[in-house]
Amino acid sequence: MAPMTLTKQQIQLWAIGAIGAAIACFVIIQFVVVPMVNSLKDNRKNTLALREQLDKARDVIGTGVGLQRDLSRIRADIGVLATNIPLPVLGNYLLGREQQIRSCCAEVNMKVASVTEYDVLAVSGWNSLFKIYRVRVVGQTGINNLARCFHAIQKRNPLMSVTAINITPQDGAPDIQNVSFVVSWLIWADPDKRPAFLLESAKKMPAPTTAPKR
Amino acid sequence: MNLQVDFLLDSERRSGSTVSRKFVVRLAAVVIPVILLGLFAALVTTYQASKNDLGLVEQEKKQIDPEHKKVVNLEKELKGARDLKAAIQGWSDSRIDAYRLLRGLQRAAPPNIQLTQWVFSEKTELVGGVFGRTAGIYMKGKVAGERPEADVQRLYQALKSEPPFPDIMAEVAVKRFAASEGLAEPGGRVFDIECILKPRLLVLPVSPAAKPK
Repeated sequence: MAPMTLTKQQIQLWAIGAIGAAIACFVIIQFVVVPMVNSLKDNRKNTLALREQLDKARDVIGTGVGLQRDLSRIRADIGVLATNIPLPVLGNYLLGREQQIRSCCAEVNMKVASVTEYDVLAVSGWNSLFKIYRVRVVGQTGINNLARCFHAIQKRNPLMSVTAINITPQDGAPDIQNVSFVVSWLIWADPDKRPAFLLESAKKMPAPTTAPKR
Repeated sequence: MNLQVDFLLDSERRSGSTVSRKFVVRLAAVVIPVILLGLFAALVTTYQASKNDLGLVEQEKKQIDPEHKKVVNLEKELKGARDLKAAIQGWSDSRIDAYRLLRGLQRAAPPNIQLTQWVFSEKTELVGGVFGRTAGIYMKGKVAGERPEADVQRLYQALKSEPPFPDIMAEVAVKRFAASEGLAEPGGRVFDIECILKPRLLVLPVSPAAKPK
């Protein structure tokens, strides 16, 4: 093979060409290939992450029917329980509660002297949706009748509870005692802001005239 | 003495190799750029494919997102509904059965004992970080007969061990046992008993270990 003899000018041209090619290669690698490779890596990473999210989302969507069924069942249960939560009549809770107490006391022939509003307790630390409405009942009766009265009260409404009792004897009448007790009801803190599904069902159904039994 | 004279010019020299250096250089000048271009084309194709894949997955996510959000909201609603039901149920389950309490008291009190005052009082307050109902019973009475001490002791024991008290009582204590001058019968006694009921939580703890004793 004949050795290539290059003139000085040719060598210079080759050198410039080689340097130009090296610069072009560097520019292409630095500004085209590397960003493209990085972008490719990012795309693959994002695709993988999105696919995982999609798989999870599909799993979640798969539970939708079951969730809807559970929600309907629980709302129905709450609907039944909520019928025992009294609603005010023109802002008044006492009238309806007094009627309930007096009818329970009448069932056992208990003499009721007074039924008065005791207080309304905020229990926001427990649940901000509710308050406790309390009524004080004063009367005279025997222990047997009082126990039966409590039985009637508790049976009538599972959310009604006796939270204070005071029994003192009457002079000259050993079978009759002076009794006073406090009955508490769970009420909505703001009846107009109770859960929407209860408001909807209340619109559909007329309000119950008597509290359902347990 | 031998003298060797080479009359060949450099341009006239020929290599013994079948592949000429010039050919190798020319071949390399073609093959290397082709390989580089091929690699670049492969890179571009892979890049485009990854972009398309990402686009497809994003599209799929966009389609699935509304339904996913709906189910996530459903989960939140379900949790809210469960909490609400637990709250109402907790209020119902934590109430003391006043009927059983009075009946139990009637059974527990021996005939010689006459209660002069019986007070039950309940509060709704924090019990170990959880809201619950706490209650106490305070009773005053007088006792006549031959063995007043035994009668009060019997009432005390009944309040600790006879149904329904073991389930509801946390503490029973005779606070006072004394002679009463007011009683007509000599040897008559007056007594005070104080009971603290077990707290009944409005929200049931997650684990039984969290339940206050």
